[in-house]
Amino acid sequence: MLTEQDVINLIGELDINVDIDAISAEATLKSIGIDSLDVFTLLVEIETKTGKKIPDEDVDKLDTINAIVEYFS
Amino acid sequence: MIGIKSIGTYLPEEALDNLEQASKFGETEEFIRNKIGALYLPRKDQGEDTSDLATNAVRNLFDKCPQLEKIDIDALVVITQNPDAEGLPHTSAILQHKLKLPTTIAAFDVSLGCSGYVYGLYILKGFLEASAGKNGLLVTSDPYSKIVDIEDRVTSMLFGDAATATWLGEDPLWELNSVRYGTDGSGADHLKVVDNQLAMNGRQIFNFAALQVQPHIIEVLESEGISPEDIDLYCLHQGSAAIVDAIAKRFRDISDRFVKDLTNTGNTVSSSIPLLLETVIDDKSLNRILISGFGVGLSMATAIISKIPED
Repeated sequence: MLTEQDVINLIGELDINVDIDAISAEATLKSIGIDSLDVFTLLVEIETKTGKKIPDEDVDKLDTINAIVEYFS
Repeated sequence: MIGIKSIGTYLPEEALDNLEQASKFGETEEFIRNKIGALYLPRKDQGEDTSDLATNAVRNLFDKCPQLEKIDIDALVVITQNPDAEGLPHTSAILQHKLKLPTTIAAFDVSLGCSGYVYGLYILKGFLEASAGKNGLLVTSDPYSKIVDIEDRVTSMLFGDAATATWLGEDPLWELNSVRYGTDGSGADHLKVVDNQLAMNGRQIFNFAALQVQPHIIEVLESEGISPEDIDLYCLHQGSAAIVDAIAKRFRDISDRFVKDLTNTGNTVSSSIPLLLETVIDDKSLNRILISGFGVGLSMATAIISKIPED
């Protein structure tokens, strides 16, 4: 189980300039300013938190906070 | 006791401008500066081969250490997975001839990537001690420009060419302490050469580094009976700025002790750790350094080196 707030908190720990209070769960990660290596970092943290491995073929689908939350629901 | 006495280095003068490459791939300057970490990627001349880079690194070492006589060198080890020509004969034999080292020397190559320098230190120390040798040269020279496709966005912004030469001998400045190795061949496909070109699953390599290196470091520290705070400097393989950051942040209180210095080199594979060590080896404020290499294989090696107190 992963909540929207969990993902937002993990994004807040990334070394990026983003106002996490203003993040839309529907916005693409790229539009928030999360680059490809930030995605790697975010997914590592999500895998660690949930204990679930994310296969490479699923990564492209996880392009919004909503998509990530739904994937783990 | 055999340990580290000095380190020579070589970076080719020519270099790719990584910001130009970033522009080609639609990446930002911020991405290059903060995540890749390399503004320039040194490139060997087309006519140069692996042994030529190695020759320059060893000559730099000889220039620094005039007391090191060629006749006194017992062993020569070259760490490379991109050897001269097609790998036969071994590059170390070619290097022996180019440097006019004695024909009594033992010379062999070791096929390892980013973990190769740490492995090589212990291989050469063990070899010298087992055969009553007194002096050995550990050379790293693994020019990935031979296999990187410049149109591949995953790898072309990462790797730089370089070579280093470490003198291992008696009465060293630094001794080798605890070491741990690791291998997980289930990830071998994540970084490999296919049809003479490098293919990398960047996410899986990142995951390996981000998740496996920290516990490996802790294991070595525990084997030495010390805590993370007892290490003055962490010289990790410079895979990318993002990889170093991902590991360093797992040591939150001392993350500033993790060196990040690849602006002018990029990821130089087995040369990255000795390039860092060369800049700090004479720093009197440092007594204990942790070194860790990780990558292709998947392979990793982590060790602690400590300064020999002056008499």
